[in-house]
Amino acid sequence: MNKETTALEETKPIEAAVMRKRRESGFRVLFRNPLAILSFLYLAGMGLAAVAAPWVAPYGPNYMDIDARFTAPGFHHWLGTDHLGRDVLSRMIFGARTTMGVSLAVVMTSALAGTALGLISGFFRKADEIIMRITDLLMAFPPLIGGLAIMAFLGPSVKNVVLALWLVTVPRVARIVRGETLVLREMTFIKAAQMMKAGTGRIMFLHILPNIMSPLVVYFTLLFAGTIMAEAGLSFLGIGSPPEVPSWGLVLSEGRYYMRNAWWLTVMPGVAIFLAVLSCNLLGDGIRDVGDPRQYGKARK
Amino acid sequence: MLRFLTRRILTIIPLTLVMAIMMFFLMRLLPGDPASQLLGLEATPEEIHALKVEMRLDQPVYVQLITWLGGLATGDLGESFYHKMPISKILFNHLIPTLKLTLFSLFFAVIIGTCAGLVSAVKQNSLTDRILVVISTSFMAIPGMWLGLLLVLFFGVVLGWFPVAGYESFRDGGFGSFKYLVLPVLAMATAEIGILTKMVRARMLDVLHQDYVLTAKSKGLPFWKVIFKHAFKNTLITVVTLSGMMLAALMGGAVITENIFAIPGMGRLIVASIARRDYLVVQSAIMFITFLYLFLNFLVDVVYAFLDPRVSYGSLKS
Amino acid sequence: MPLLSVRDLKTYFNVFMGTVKAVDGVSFDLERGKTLGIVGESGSGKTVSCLSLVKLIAMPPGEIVGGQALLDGEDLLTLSEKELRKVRGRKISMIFQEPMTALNPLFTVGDQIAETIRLHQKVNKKEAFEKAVEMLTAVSIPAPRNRALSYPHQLSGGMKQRAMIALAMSCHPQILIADEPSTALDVTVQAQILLLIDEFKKKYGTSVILVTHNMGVITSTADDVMVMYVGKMVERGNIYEVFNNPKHPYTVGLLECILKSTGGKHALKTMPGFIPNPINKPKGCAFNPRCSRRMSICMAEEPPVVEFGKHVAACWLYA
Ligand SMILES: Nc1ncnc2c1ncn2[C@@H]1O[C@H](COP(=O)(O)OP(=O)(O)OP(=O)(O)O)[C@@H](O)[C@H]1O
Ligand SMILES: [Mg+2]
Repeated sequence: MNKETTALEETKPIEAAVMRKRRESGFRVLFRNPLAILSFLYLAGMGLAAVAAPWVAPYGPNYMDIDARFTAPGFHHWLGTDHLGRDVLSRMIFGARTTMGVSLAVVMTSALAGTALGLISGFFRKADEIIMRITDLLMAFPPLIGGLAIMAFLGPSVKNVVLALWLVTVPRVARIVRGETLVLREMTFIKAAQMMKAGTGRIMFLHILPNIMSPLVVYFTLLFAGTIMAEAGLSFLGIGSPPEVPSWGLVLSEGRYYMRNAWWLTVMPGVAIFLAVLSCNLLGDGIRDVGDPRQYGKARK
Repeated sequence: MLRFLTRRILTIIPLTLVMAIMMFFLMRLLPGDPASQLLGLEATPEEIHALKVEMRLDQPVYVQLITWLGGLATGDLGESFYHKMPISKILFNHLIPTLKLTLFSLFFAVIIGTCAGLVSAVKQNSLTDRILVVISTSFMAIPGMWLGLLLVLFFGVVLGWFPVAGYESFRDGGFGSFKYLVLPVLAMATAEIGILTKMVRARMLDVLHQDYVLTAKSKGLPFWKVIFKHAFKNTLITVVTLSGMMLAALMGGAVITENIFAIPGMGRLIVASIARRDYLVVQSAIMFITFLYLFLNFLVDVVYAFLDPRVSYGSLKS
Repeated sequence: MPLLSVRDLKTYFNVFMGTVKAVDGVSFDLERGKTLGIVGESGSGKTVSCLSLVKLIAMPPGEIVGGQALLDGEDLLTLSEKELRKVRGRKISMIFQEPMTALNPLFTVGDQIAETIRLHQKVNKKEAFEKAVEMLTAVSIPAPRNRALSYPHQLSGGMKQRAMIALAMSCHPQILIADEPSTALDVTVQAQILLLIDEFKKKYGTSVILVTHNMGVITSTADDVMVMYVGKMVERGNIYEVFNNPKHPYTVGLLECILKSTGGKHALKTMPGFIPNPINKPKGCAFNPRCSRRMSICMAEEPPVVEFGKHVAACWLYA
């Protein structure tokens, strides 16, 4: 009984022919889903703002204007200022850099490594034994606790956050890829390819990978949301990104002591995290629906 | 059934052992050594050496490893540098609040999430369903720490209904002690309620399309019996499976929540000990909380095996 | 008077792309103690016709738009949900195509049969269980008492289907609807299951509706046959008359298929052309694009139902 696969039950791979047909009209379905489009646009906008932070942000992230401490949101400081007179909007935009950057780095690297490990695991018995024992070990820790353990001994730094969260996500990706690979490998069209003596590498990349891509992409968007939460959590606890690097969790954490008087210090970063996570989830749902034949208006039996 | 459970226990033991070894080496990752880290820059070499002896750091690595493992087995984990108390005792003192927080949240989330998911699925496409879908989707995206802060602000500060922070044991406060748990449990459970509602709804819709539900209807069973007996029991299995995953999330969430609400649990202990560089405590506490998680997960599996004959009769390979 | 008399049954599904007229004006009679075979290709509305009789289709998207289904003179389609529950399992019971999934995996086979018995008969738990064991004996399951305590996953496919028959027959219904009861089983087991149903029919005088897309199955067990094509009744009548003297070109085609397939070499000959999209059926006779004897009127207007005694066909050829 594999818990990760039960959670992803709705995204099981289906036969290749069906998948190919889906890809053709997949975008049309995605386009019919305004929420998914909106989410995508929001995330893209956020990403752009993060990349262009030095040009977009009105102030430097650590620029202090002591006279303007605790300014409520207004014309000069759209989202107000904090206890040191730093502009919240600017800190949020630079914070997006940290939070989204960390999450992107974690998801991309663990997607690559996890997919590779999962594919290998699904094809080679011996490697499978070893890889699965290691994933068992890494997954024995509740995710945030595992990250905490690593951060506790490595010390707060952005690099360490990426490493810690990477170690938490890789085994999970590997597990899911392995599961999907095993299911697909048993299916007739892969068997046929094997019979025609296609090389293992060829089967992996031409037959397995394209067909597990669609459930995986859904999983990655959800993983991205999870990583945003985890990064914010670690930074909130003060063991994530160091004090001089603003991140949403850090802004939230610093602001909480002034919650009674300066509500915006608590509300704004929370809203940012909420919207980012919500967008990822909605986008994930949208992509999942593309893989769902029911969405084509076909009568279902 | 018995064979399934024994097999599950047998996988936990080596896992814990390897984890313990890993935690031991993780501690060695610290720049410099824990003793000089602890004492800071002003410490004299003599002081550092004395602490090293106290922390058994002067012994060869394998001796230290064996001491650590032996300690884990016997419950003697050494002494906390900060508290000057046996670590096992500290852990025990901090265990109950975390356990209470986690289990209450789980319980609460399971009840609410399951009911909401069930209603949502049975009334698919109705207004109720749509509202529940929106709510569950939003709940899933609410950061627990943020919700915790907002709850404190609103129910604690503005309305004054609940204490803004703190904790009381049941022995001291009786049923009144629960007022300290209301806001933390809400903060922790909300996201899980969202996830569970969504999953239960999806699973229930899936189950309602299964042939055996049609069979049950064709027998002449009344609607509620089809739903609550035949469909729901199948959905319940998903809930149990999800409970294992939710436990993982909740135990992580507990760390954050305990820090917001100043609840003296394991999570607060870990974070405070990191700040105090009390690494032995960090190491032991993480080990302990993980072991706790594995144990609770084992209990989840027991319930699962109990519910699903395909597991207990050994035909389903795990 | 026939036991069940269905007149002009119409069941539509409103889906995103439009309306699927899954059953569009089907009429048939089921005589006491007789077997009616319903044949047709996949998607022709066989299952929906059967499920509509006791309102077991998903509503929405499904909707029974019109028609009558008189059981002993009582119209099933006008019954309330509560009254229908007394019909389901007691007067009309069903067996489905997939024995693997038709039984609930979480309850023992005995429990599931006993549940039906307790629902319709005044017996206590223990008596119901004894009756369930009796039923399992009647369907010749070896070691019935042990099997009653087994969970579905512990039974083979054939055994599960036997258990399903035991469940369906446990309250001695007047009508047994068997929706492709043997399709999912292997060939030797198929014959056994059909024989078993036939035995029950003879023993209890149960009327059977046997749904299949295999003409061969019909010949050995059915008394009457109805051929369906995309929601319409195409031809109906006594099995000998329909087989010896098929009227509708579609029936002729179907019969040619089995005749040729028994002839050896071309084991699986099918008719040319495809089943039309149920949302967008061809105008006139739905079969006209595949018909070898098509006339211009076939493409313009729906064919009338022409009667040759009790043998009827919906075709312009005879109008
Ligand atoms: N729940 C539903 N929603 C929408 N359309 C449906 C639904 N159930 C059946 N249909 C449609 O009704 C039509 C008839 O289906 P039905 O299941 O009766 O076919 P059948 O003759 O039993 O086929 P088969 O031999 O494959 O079992 C099909 O076009 C099908 O797509
Ligand atoms: Mg059918």
